[in-house]
Amino acid sequence: MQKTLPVLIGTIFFSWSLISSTFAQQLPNGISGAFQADAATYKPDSLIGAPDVPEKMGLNSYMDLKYVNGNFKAGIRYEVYLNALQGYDPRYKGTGITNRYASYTYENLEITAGSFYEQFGSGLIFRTYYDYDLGYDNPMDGINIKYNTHGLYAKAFVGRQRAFFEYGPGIVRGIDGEVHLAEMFPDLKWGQHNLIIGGSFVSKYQADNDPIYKLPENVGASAARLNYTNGPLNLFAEYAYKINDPSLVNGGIYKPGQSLYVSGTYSKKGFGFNAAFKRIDNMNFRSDRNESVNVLNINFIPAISKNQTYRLATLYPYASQVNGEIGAMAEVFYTCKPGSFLGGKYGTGININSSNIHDIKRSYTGDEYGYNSNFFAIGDTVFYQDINVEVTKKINKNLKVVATYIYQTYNQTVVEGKSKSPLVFADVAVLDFTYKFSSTKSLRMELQGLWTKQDRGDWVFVLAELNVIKNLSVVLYDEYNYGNADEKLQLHFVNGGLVYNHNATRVALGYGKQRSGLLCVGGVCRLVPASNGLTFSISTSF
Amino acid sequence: MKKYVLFIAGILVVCLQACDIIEPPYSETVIGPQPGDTLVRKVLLEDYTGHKCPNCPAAAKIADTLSNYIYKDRVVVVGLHVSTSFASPSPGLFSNDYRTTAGTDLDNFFQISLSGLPKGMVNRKGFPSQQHKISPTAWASEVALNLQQPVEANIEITNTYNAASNELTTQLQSKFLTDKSGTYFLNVMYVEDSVISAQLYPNNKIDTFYVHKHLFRGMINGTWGEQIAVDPQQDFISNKTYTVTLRTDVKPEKCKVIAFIYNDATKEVIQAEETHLQ
Amino acid sequence: MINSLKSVTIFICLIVFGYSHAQQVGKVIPSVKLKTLDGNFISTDDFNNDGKPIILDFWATWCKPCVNELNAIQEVYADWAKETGVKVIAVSIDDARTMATVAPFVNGKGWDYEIYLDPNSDLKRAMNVNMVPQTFVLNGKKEIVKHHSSYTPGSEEKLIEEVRKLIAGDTSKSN
Repeated sequence: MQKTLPVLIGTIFFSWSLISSTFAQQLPNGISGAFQADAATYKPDSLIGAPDVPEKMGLNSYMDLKYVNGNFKAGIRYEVYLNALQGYDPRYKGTGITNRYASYTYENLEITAGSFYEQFGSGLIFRTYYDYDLGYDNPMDGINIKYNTHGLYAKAFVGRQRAFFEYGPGIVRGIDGEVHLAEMFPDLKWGQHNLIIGGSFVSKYQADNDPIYKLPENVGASAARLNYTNGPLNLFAEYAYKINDPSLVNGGIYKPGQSLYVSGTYSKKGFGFNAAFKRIDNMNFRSDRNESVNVLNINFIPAISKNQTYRLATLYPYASQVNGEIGAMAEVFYTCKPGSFLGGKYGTGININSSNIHDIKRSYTGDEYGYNSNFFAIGDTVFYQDINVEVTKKINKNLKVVATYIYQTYNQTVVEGKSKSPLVFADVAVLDFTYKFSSTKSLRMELQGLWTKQDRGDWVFVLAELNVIKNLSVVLYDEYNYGNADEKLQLHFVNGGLVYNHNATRVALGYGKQRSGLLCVGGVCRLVPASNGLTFSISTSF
Repeated sequence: MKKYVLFIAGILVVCLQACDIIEPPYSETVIGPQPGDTLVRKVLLEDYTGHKCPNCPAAAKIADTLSNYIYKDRVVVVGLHVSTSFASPSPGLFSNDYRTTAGTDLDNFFQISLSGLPKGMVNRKGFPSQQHKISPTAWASEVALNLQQPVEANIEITNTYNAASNELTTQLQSKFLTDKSGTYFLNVMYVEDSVISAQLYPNNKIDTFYVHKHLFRGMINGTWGEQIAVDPQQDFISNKTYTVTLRTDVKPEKCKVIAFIYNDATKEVIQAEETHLQ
Repeated sequence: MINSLKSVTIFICLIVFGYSHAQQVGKVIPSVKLKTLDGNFISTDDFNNDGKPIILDFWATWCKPCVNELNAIQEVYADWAKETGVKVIAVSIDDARTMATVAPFVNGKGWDYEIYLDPNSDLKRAMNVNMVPQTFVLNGKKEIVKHHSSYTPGSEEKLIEEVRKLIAGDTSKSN
């Protein structure tokens, strides 16, 4: 069965080079696109929990084609899931054109018909976007109009939302306006001051056939926002309110939802400070009240905790809890100047980040209304806390080191829905070395450790990435769960791979075992089951 | 400029109209089954659940509301405990293993727990296009839509239970009320009501004396049942009799026999029936 | 395994054959609205370096290789600018989660680039950027002459070489 992958890779490749060589040179001006394919073979491994996949391999792929001519734009996307890689929703099955649009711009007016990606403010009540790696794609299919004049920026849309190869049952409508006061009233003495205010309204319709409850067929949400900047200072605040919207995710309660997001930053060369506060209360908003996870979301509630990227630091990733959370984050960036005590010869970069997220406080009403909640009261349940310290230091001309320490507190029950699991307290340390042999030859190494008494216990991770051959990187890593309480599960997850990069093309081949875990991009996560086998990936744009 | 402001104001007004604020009571006025009809369509609602699944009690409540208050015996409910993460036993309060071989087989085939629990199937409709996995909040509307379809078959169950040998003999008469094409199977199982043991709730709360209703205990004629008809015509009748020894850990007086007829190609159930064991 | 290795070798050869075709090279960058760090809009039509080349870099605060690349360029940016007049425009694809971090991040690193935000991924989509980092070298007419994805230490050299070629091409023409 392992042979299927080479055959498949061959087919993909052959067709791709055929496409690129036959069309590219004669591609009519204005046509461009992107292509990506990811394939994996699966061998069952009961010890790591890799399931027996009957089809033995998975393939996700897409091709985007775009055409631009003056004020006219059009595009399509074709997607392939034969079958979807493990961890993607099985409703991604088969092939088809999932996305097509045409758009025309006339002076300050832009009209799009078909699939579109749009967002109002920070997305508290409306954001559609595409993330291939997450299998997250919720564009509206309908009409989107944008218009701007003298500092007024307006948007309006009506559409249905994509869910896999179909549309969700709801209809979504929305408008948004943003006023850039300095642009609208240029005669006033603004100096460095800049003030932007905005407001939006989104409503969804879904029929009510429920014989038990009176469900609201039209659910509206509105939001107001403000952005003030003054040189190094930037303040942003957005508040959103949503009327009763009983759904699968909120447990069918009728309480209205609200959320507040405030952030402030101050920065000048060599120094940056950022703080944010967020409160979410019952803000699940989907065009199908019966959906969950990453399907048919109308809004986007991002997590405010640091977006971790080192492998072990992503073992316990936080994702926003739309049913309710209250939290704050603060972050400092500082560069010690070269020649100073801490700066040394080349300067030292320091980044400290800390966040603390709790449940909101609820007093339950006992009926379908759900609960009442004091706006600023902090609940007892800890969802997530962390403190991150990162120091970037260039030791000499050839060697650069990034040292990171993280302390995390993580609520598995809330974030992953694991039943009856204790809070995880974890220390994570990472040393990341880059050694340059010459201007283009280098070795990168990561040494990571995670220490915890809960869950699966202690881990170490070692990675080496060798870049000595032009365009080719060789990567080898081992993730070792040496501290698992169950000795049978003290396993190594060894992986090796080759990555080839040339111009806009990237090809990667890997072989090894992968632990199960959450893959998160921008605070949205997908559960990836353990796997064992070959992986192949190609991406390019043309 | 004025034109656009007016245009936007217009949209705003239209949108603000588009809000349905619901005041309590939130429940619909119940319209139960109409008396008089003896031959009615009955729907099978399979609730895939687990004693360690915190959101499952809410789903069970919906199933119970449908079968006990709204549609009464026109909704036949079965609760199947499945998956390792939600239904495996663990020392202490959750030491019972309510999983069954047939339940696990069904879960693997329909890939229910893979999409997270609670989930269910209403007449197994929507397979294999992945539309068969239905979230609990949609069960009521799915059941309502399904009950609007005409009745196509009828099942009569006659049970004889021998307490001495713990043996159950069940006789089933299936009658098709319209011409149907395709191959049809009869599947028979038994469930136990009112099993009291622990159930996990949200926020790690535990109800030690939770009442598990419609708890699936096993198949009487195999995971997929037995073929009873190919392209049956109206008034086609099939008679089947099965004898099984009940599990020793069930209370026979709390048990019910559930039977349903499904199309082999689509797996869609066309009629369901349930009768107490005694 | 041997079979797959063989096929891989063939595929790598195929890529080498195919790469030269698979580029957006020669096209003018699309006209898309981005955000400035103080919340205003700017169109890519307003990108300006007085007819000199531009390096357009897509990055994100959470993307380690992106940050490594921009750090590496920062070390030599002054020399590059002096030598070729090139300007680096760094477009952050950070979304609402980390968008507010961009300004303090950039200042904390002491970067001298022109920074814009693409929170709705409009430019990212328009330029078929499927992952970050991705870098485009633009000539004085803002036509793409080089498109490079991903970063390994030292690969920034390829960008400046491309810029040098452009400059050399210009002078040879004017001569």
